[in-house]
Amino acid sequence: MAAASDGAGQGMVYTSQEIQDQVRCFVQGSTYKSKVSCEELAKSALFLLRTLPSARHAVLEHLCTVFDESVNTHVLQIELGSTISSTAMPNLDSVIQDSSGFLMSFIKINPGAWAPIISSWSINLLGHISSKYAERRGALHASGFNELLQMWMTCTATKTLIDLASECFASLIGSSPDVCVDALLEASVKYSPHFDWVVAHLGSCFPQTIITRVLMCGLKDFCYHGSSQSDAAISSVQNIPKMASVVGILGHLAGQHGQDIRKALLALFRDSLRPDAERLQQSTTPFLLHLASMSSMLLHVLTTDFVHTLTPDILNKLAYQFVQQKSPSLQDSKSLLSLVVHLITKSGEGAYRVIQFLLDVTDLNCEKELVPEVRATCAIILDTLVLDLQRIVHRRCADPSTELPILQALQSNALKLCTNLVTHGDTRQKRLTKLLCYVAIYSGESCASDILAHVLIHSREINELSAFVQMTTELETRYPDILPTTVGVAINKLQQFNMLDGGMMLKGLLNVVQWERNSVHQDSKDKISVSRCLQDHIPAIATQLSHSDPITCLAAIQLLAEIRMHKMSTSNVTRICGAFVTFFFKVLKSKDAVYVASALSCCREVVKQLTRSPTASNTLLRFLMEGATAEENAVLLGGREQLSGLSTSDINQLEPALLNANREHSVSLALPRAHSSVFHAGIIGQGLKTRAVGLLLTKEKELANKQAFLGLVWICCCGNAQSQNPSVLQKDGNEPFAGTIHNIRLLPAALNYLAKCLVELTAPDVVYNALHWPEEEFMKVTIERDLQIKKTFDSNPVLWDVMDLISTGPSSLCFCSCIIRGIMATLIAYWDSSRDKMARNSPKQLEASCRLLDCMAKGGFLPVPLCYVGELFPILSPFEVYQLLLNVWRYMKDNPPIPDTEDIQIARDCDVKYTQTIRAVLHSNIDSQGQHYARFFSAEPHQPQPQ
Amino acid sequence: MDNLRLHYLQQLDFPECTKVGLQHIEEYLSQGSQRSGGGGRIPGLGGSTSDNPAQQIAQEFVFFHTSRRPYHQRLSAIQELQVLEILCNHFHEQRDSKKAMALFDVLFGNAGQLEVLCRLVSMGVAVQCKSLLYCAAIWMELQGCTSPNPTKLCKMLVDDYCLLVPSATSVLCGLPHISRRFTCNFMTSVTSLYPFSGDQCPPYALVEMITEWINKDPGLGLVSLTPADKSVIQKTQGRYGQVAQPWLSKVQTPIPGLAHWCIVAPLTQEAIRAKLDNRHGETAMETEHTNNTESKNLQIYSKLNVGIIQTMVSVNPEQSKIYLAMQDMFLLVKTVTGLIQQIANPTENDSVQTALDRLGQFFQVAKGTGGLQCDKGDLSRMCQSLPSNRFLEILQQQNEAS
Repeated sequence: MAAASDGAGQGMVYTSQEIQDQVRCFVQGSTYKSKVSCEELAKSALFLLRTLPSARHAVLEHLCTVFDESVNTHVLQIELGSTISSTAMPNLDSVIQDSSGFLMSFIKINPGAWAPIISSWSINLLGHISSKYAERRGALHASGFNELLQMWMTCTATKTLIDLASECFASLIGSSPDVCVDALLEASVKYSPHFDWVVAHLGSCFPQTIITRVLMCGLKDFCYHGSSQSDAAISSVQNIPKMASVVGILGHLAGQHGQDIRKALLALFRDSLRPDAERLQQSTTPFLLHLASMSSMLLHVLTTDFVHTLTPDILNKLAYQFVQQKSPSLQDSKSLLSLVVHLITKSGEGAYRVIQFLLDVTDLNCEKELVPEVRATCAIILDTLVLDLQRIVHRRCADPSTELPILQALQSNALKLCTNLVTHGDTRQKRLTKLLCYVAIYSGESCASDILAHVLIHSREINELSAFVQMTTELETRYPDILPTTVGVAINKLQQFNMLDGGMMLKGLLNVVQWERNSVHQDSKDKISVSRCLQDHIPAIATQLSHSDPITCLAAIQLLAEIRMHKMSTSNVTRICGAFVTFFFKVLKSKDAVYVASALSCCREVVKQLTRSPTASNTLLRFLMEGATAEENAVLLGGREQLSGLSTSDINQLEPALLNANREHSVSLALPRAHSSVFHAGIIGQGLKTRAVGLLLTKEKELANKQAFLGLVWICCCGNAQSQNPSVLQKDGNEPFAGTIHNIRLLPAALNYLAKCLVELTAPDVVYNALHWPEEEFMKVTIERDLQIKKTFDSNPVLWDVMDLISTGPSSLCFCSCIIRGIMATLIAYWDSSRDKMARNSPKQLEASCRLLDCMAKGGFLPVPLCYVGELFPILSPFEVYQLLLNVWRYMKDNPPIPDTEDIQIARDCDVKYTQTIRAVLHSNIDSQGQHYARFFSAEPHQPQPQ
Repeated sequence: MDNLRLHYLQQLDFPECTKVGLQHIEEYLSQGSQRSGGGGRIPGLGGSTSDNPAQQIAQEFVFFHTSRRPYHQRLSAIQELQVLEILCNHFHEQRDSKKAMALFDVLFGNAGQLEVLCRLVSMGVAVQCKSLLYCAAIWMELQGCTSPNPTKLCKMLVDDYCLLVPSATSVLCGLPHISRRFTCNFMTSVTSLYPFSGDQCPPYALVEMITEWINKDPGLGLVSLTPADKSVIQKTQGRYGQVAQPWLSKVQTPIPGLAHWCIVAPLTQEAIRAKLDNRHGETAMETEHTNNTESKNLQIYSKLNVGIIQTMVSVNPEQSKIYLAMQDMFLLVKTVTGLIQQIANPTENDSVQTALDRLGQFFQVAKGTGGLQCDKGDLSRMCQSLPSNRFLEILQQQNEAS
C-alpha cells in the first residue's frame, strides 16, 4: 500500500475548515439553496470525492443529476435541431469529462475497491437515463436498435458512462465477473427494453465473459426458481424475469458473436456432463431447453450444433443424470418431454438432423450401445411429435396461415428422408412414413407428388411398397389426384436419370404394379391404380428398352408386360414397336440364359398386349421381319453360312457401335445442342477401330432364337384370337409349334400381311410380282431377280420358317407366289445344270427344294401326288429332281394360286399329265423306292395306270 | 408538551427540522438529567424505551425513519450528507462532553443506525470533530472494541481512508491529534479486524500509520487504561448495565493485537514466500517486487515491535494495570505453532527465530512491567510446543532460577 505515501507526496493536506466549507458549498449548491455556479459545484464535488470518503454517495448522486441534465440537453438538441446550441449548459461537458477522469483514475489505482461501486452506479444511471428518455421524441426517431445505439453513443454523457462501466468490467472481469454481470442482469430486468443497447455494447466489449456469465446467472436463477416452485415449474419458467433478459442479451449478441454463444452453450452443456458436475450444473439441460423455447436463435444453435454432440455415451450420461436428479415427478418429466416435442416442431434448419438423430437412436438395429431408457424416451418423443404434427397439419387445412417450421425445413430435405425410408429397414418406417405424409400435406400437392414419386421409384422391397401404399392412402384423402401426378413425376424422372438409376426406378414401379395386380380383386374397380396411370406413359417406359443396361431393359419389359395397354396413337405404337423389336434382338444376342428366358417370356406378354389392336400387330410384324432380315441380326437366326462367305471387314460391321451409341440417346429426353446429342462419327486420332470378334452361336442357341422369333410372330398372327371363340382350324402338315396351335386360329389377315411383308423384303422389285406362273422359258428373263430372292433366303434361313408359318393360313401363301416361283426357278436352273450323281451331293439345294415343296404342299398349292415329290428328292439324281420340279412348275402354271378361295384344296385336282413324270421317276428307281409307290398312287384306284 | 414539540417540528422543512430537532433532544435530555438527579431515577430502569420523546425525535427528524412522512422516507444521498454535516456541526459546537455523550447515546446507542454512524465518524475524522470522536471512543469501549459493531466502524474507516481514497490517508494520520482515546480503540478494533489468518494482511498504509503513531506517542496504546470520566458514562449506564459494571476488568488495549501482528508477520511472510517459490516461472521484475515489499514489511513490523515494547515500558509500574491475560498468551502461542508447522525446518529458519524472539520479548516485558500475571510453570508450558530458541531457553532458565 504505497498509496498513503503517494497521498502525502501530493502534499494536498486540507484543513478541516476547508473540508467543512466545501461540504457546505456542495450541499448548498446541490440542493439549490443558494446560487452556486455549475463549475464551482463540480469543483467542490470532486474535492469532496478526494478528501471526504463518506461523501462519495452524495457526490455520485450529484453526478447523476449532472449526467441526466447533459443527456436532457442532448435530446433537446436532437429534437429542436441545434438552435439552442450549447448556450444553456456551457460547461456540462467539461464537468463530465473532469469527473469521469477522476473516476477513471480511481478505478485504475484501486480497481478492487472502486470498480464494483462505479460499475453499479454507472449501470443504474444508464438504465435510468435510457428508460427516462426513451419516450422522448428525439429518442423515438431512433427506431432500430442500431440507431438507438448510435444516438446514445453520440451523447457525451452516456458515452462517458458506458466507458466507465466497461472500464470497471475490464478490471473486474478477471477477479469477480459475477458481480458486474449480476448488476447488468438486474438492470436489464428493471429497465428492459430500453437498457438493451447498454447490454449489447458491453457484451460486445467482453463477449466471452458476458455470454458465459449471463448463461451462468440464468442457470442459477433457473435452478432457484425451478426448485422453489417445483410443481408449476414449467409454466412459471416464463415468469422468471432473468430468463427473459438472458435471452434478450444473447439475442443482441447473436448477430456479431454467434460463434461465441455457440461455444459458450456447448461448454456449458459439456461441463454439465462431467462426472463431478454440481447439482446446479445438472439442471443445465432443462435450462437450455427452456432457453431455446424462448428464442429461436438459441433453438437454432441447439438443433444444429448440439445434435452432433449427442453421442451414445453422452446420451447415457444424460439419462443417468436425469434419473439421479431428485427423482423427478411424473408431471415434471412429462412436461419436459412435451417441451422437447414443442421445440422440435419449432425447429427450422436443423430439423432434418434432429429427426435423423431421433430415428437413429430409436432404431434397434443400430449397433450403438444405448441405455434402454434413452431409446424408449426418444421413441416417446418421436411418437408424440408425429401425433402433434398430425393434429396441427390437419387443423391447418382450416387455417392455412399456420406456420410449422419443422415441416417447412423438412420439405427441403424430404427426398433425403425418403431415401432414409428406403435404405433403412422397417424399424423406422412407420414413423418416417407418417412424418413424410405430414410434410407432403403441409407443402402442397406438387411436393407431395415429388415425395411419393421418390418413394415409389425407390421402393424395392415389399415393406417399402407398403410405405408407399400407406402414404398414398393417407394423401389421397387430401389430394385426390395425387396418384396420376405422382406417376407422371416418376416417369419424368425416369427420363432425366442417368443410366444406373433407371433400372431401380422401374423395379419400384414394377413392384407396385405387381402388388396391385395381386390385390386388385379386393379393391373397387374405380380406384385409381398405378398401373392404370402408367398406361398414359407406355411410350416413355418403352424408350427405356433401348437402355444400355440390361437390367433396366428387363425391368422395363417386365413393367410393360404388367400394364394393360389400351388404344394408342399410331406414332406411339410405332415408337413402342420399334423399341420393342430392337430390344428383342438385343435379348437374343445376350448370353445369359436366365435373363434371356425371363426377358423373352415378358416379350411374349408384351406382344400379346400389343396385338390387341390390328395396327399394332401389323407394325410389330413388319418391324420383326425387318429386324430379322437386317444384316446385324441375321446371324442370330441362323444366317451363318452366308456370313462365312463375307469378308472379315463385313463381319465387323455386325456391331455398328456408332449406331448403338446414338440409339442410346433416345432413352433420355433430347437435349438440344448438348454435346451428347451430337451424332459423332468416331474418335479422331485413335486410328482404326479395334475389330470386334464376330458373333458365333451354337446350333441350339440358333434354334432357340429362331423359336423365340417365330413365337412372337405367331403371337402377332394370333391377334386377340385368344379371347375370341377358339374355333378349331383344320390343318394338315407338321407344325413347328406346340400343340396348342390346333385350338387357335391364326388371323388370315395377319398372315396375309406377313406374306406381303415377306415379299416386300425379299423381292427386289415389283415388276414380276404377279400371282400367276409364267412359261418355263420365262425363267431365263427373271434369272437375276430369282437369284437375289434365293440369296436372301439363304442368308436368312429363318425366312423359310416364316414362309412355313404363312403356309398355315388358308390362302396367305398365294401372296408369296412370286417368291416361291423365284426360288423354284433358281433351283430348277441348278438341278438342270448339276452333273452330280446324286442330288444329295448338293445338300443345300436339296434342302431348299424339299422345304419349298413342303411349304407349297402345306399352303395347298399342290394336289396329292405332287405334294409328296419332295420326299423323293434325296434319293434321286439331279436330273430327276429337275424333271420333277419342272413338273411342279407346269402344274402351277396351269393352276395358279388364287387367294381368298376357301376351298382351294378341293378345286385343285391333279391331272394325269402331271403325274406321269412322277410315275416315270418312281419306275426308274423302283428297286430302291418301291415301297414309296403306294404313297403316291395307291390312294387313286380310279386313275388309269399309265403303261 | 412532547406532542406539541413534534407537531412544531413537523411544520418545518427538511434541514431546519433536523437542526431544531437536535436542539429539542438536548433540551429534553437536560431536563431529564435534572429530573433523574432530583427524582432519584433508578439506574437500569427506563430511559431506553422507544416511546422516549428524544428517541422519537431522533428517529423522525434525524434518521427520517417514520411512517408518518412518506415523502421523507428515504433521504437522498445529498440530504444524508446534509444531515451528517448538521450532526457534525452540532457536536462540534457542543463543548460539554456529558451532553454530547447523552445526545450520541440517544442517536446511536442502540446501534440501529450503524451505517449513519460510520459515515458520521468518517466525516468527523475529516473535519476533526473532537467531541464526536470522543463519544465514538466511549461508545466503542462500551460495546467492546472487538465486538462486531465497532469492528465494522473501523473497517469502514480503513476502507474509506486507506483503500478508496488513498490521497486522504493523511487525514487519518492526524487522528491522535483529534482524539487519542478514539485512536487507541481504533487500533484495538483494527487488530481484531485483520487477525493475520491466511492472506488477510492489514493494508501497508495502515500498519505504517499505526507504527508512526505508536513510535511518536508511546502512551497512545495505553489511553484506554485510564477510565473515562464517570459522569460522562453515567447517563448511559442504564443501557450498558452489565458491561459498564465490570468496567476495569474488561478493559481492552491494542497491545496484545499489535504484538500478535508483530510476532505472526514474519511467519506469514515466510508462508507467502514459500507459496511464491512453488509457483515458478515468475519474471525477475515480479520477484524483485515481492522482495521489495517483503523487506519493507519486515522493516515496518520490527519498527512496530519496538514501538510496542516502548509503550509497555512506558507504563508507570505504580499505577500498572493488567492488560494481558495468560489465556491470550496461550492463544497466541497456538497460532504461532500452527504457522510454524507449515514451515519446513523451523529451528534454522530466520523468520521463525525472529518470531520466537519477539514472543519471548513480549512475554518478558509484559511480565516485567506488570501487565501480565503468570505462574511459574506457565512459561515452560508455553514453550512446550515451540521449536527451540535461544532467547526462550534463557528465559526459562532465569525463570527456574528465580
